[in-house]
Amino acid sequence: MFDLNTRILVVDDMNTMRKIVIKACREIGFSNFVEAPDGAIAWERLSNSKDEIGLVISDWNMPNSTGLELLKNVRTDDGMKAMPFILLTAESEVVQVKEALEAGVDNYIVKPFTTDILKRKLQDTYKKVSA
Amino acid sequence: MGAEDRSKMSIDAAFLAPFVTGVVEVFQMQSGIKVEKQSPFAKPKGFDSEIGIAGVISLDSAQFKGTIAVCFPKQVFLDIYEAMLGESHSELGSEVQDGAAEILNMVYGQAKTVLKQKGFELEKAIPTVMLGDNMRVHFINEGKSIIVPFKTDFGTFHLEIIIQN
Ligand SMILES: [Mg+2]
Repeated sequence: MFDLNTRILVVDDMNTMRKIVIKACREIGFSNFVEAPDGAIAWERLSNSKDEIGLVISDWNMPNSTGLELLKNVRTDDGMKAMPFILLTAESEVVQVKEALEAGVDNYIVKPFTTDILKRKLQDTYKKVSA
Repeated sequence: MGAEDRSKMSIDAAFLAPFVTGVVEVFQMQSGIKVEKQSPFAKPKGFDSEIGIAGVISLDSAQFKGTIAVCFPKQVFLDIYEAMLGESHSELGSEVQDGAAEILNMVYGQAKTVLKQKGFELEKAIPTVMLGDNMRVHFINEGKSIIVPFKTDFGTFHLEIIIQN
């Protein structure tokens, strides 16, 4: 599993969803978070190395810059391309999931989700990225 | 009831079911709150229930023209919000309003996926939040409307689907 000190960047345009994700992560044992309301601001936070982010959990649908755009930015940046990245989506539409997988997402979570689901996805993601 | 009425009814029921399931699942998964569906009914003339806050989605697609709303009495929603996020609020401020929109977002996302498999194509939609009296004005004389009440430990809220086509 990820080190519980890992700083997680939580990206969602909805304040409530960021709180839900953070609450579930806290229940798992994480305590270090950075928040952003869209892909552009998230990218700024990621680019600021002082933030030392070790995992991204990002919504798909957001105004300004989507989660998919953020993912593509991350995967084409030399310093960041190995960043563990989980997408949150409100719809389990095959098209979206396929597009995200092609863009190199490590995992995806369909909303709504339980803390157990999140935990399992985090474990799977960790196995994948540390393999 | 004529044949046409009956087919209309069944389309409505098929359309309604994923939203009802969506409400139950979203609450149970996201907040651990048990919600119990009550019998749906056609909204009678003059129906008035205490609504403090509602998440509302208006749709204008080929197969469905109308409105979907999840409506809560103020205190019921404040209690649900607290159970969901561990934050206590006494007023329906912007954070709490965001919560109502996000709940409906999730319900809509769930229902949309199921309806797509049944051949109903629904567009992407952004929920808006309405407070108190605005709701009643908005909902008066808006066409045929179905109400599905849900019971929780905190009180009752309802899903309302207004069908305009
Ligand atoms: Mg969003």
